[in-house]
This record gives sequence, C-alpha cells and structure tokens, in this order.
Amino acid sequence: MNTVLTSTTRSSLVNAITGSGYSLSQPKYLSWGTGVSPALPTDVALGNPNGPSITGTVSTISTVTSGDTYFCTGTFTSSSILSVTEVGLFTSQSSPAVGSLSNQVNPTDTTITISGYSKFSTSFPFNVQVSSEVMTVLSGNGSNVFYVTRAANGSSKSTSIIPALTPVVAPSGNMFMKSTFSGMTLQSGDSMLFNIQIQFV
Amino acid sequence: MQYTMNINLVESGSTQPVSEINSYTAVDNFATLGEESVPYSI
Repeated sequence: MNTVLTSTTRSSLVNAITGSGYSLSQPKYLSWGTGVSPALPTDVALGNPNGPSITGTVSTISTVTSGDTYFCTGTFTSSSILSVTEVGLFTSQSSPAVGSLSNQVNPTDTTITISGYSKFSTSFPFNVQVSSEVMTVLSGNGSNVFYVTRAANGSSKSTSIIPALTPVVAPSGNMFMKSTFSGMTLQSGDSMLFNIQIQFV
Repeated sequence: MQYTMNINLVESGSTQPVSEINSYTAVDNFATLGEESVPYSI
C-alpha cells in the first residue's frame, strides 16, 4: 500500500503555519478507482476513478493528544465486479472528467490523442493525470487532440510508452490524499467502508 | 460482502521516522491483507 498527502496539500499546510492562509476546502469527498500506478505526492487525480464520489462523515478525534487526528469515513457499494486499487480524498464532490488515450504516448510526445474529448473543460490550461505522470493541457483541436506540457506539477515524464486506452483524468477540485493498494475484488452489491485517519504527532 | 479498509497516515513534526500503518480487512473473512511501516514526515 502507498498513501500520500499530495504536494498541494503539503504546501497548503505550510501556508497555514506561516500565516499565508489555508486555501483548501474541507477534504470530505471520497472517490475510489481502479488505477494501476502507485500513489505519488505529485498526483492530481486517481488513475481511473470509478463512479461518482461520496460525501464522507468528518470528525476530529484524539489518537494520542486531544484533537490530533482528522477522520473521514464513507462507504461505497459496487454496482459491478470491480477490482478496487485506489481511494482519494477530494475538496470537491463534482465528478472528474475522464477520457482515455486513443493512441500510445511516446516519451517525446507533446500531443495526445484521446477519446472523450467533450467531457473536458474548454478553458485551458488544466492538468490531467495520465498513469503516474501529470500533464498540463495547453490547448486542444476541438475534437480529439490535446497539446500538452509533460511532467507537470513536479511529476516525472514517463520514460517508457504510455499505452493506448490509459485513462486521462482531469480532477475536480484538489486531491488532498491518495492511497493505492493491492486489488480488492468486489462483486456487485459488495460494499467497502473506508476509514481514513490523518494523525499529526 | 462488506469490507472495511482502515488507512492511517501519521504526519510527523519531529525528526524521528514514524509509522504509517495501512490495513484492510474483510468483515466476513477477517484477515489483514496489507500492512507496512514506512518512514514518513513533513
């Protein structure tokens, strides 16, 4: 398993300490998915979100000292056979835009061809998660091509081919935390309760 | 079937590594499927 607070979260927490202001909304929306890349701090979205997010129940609990732990809990119910591999905490309930690569992406490419173009914003730029890499979409051709800056948000450019059909995900709001784990196979109707605790010591 | 996953992330303000313990368990088949201890600090 791999669990991280994202780089956006980290800088926001530092801003709170320095008095620059904490800029994130409450991270109370949970989303789960089936992405295959381990969580990285530079990630901006799940690798492959599954369905709409849910609103978690948030509380402050005391693990060691009074009020030292943020607690968010929520339950998903699967509507199909699903191998869950990731969960994230987000500041917005809106669903992310999700498309997929129509063609493989080579390490030197700065254009990507996608399906699901109309699901994405027409207001540029915005970031998309493609496997473990974040790309900034600078513009598009209006139908199926994005022109991108590779290795955005501090992520590393993929040194190998990113295969066709890899999901392309534009987040809604900020991803506060992401956790990835070995696939948990659920049958239709199975439910999964996530208890997420972030403790400060 | 109902499953429960507990994700505990410990943020340390000290210089000592702390443990991140993640585990998930199936209610009907109680077993720890994943657990690790990872140095983590900000």
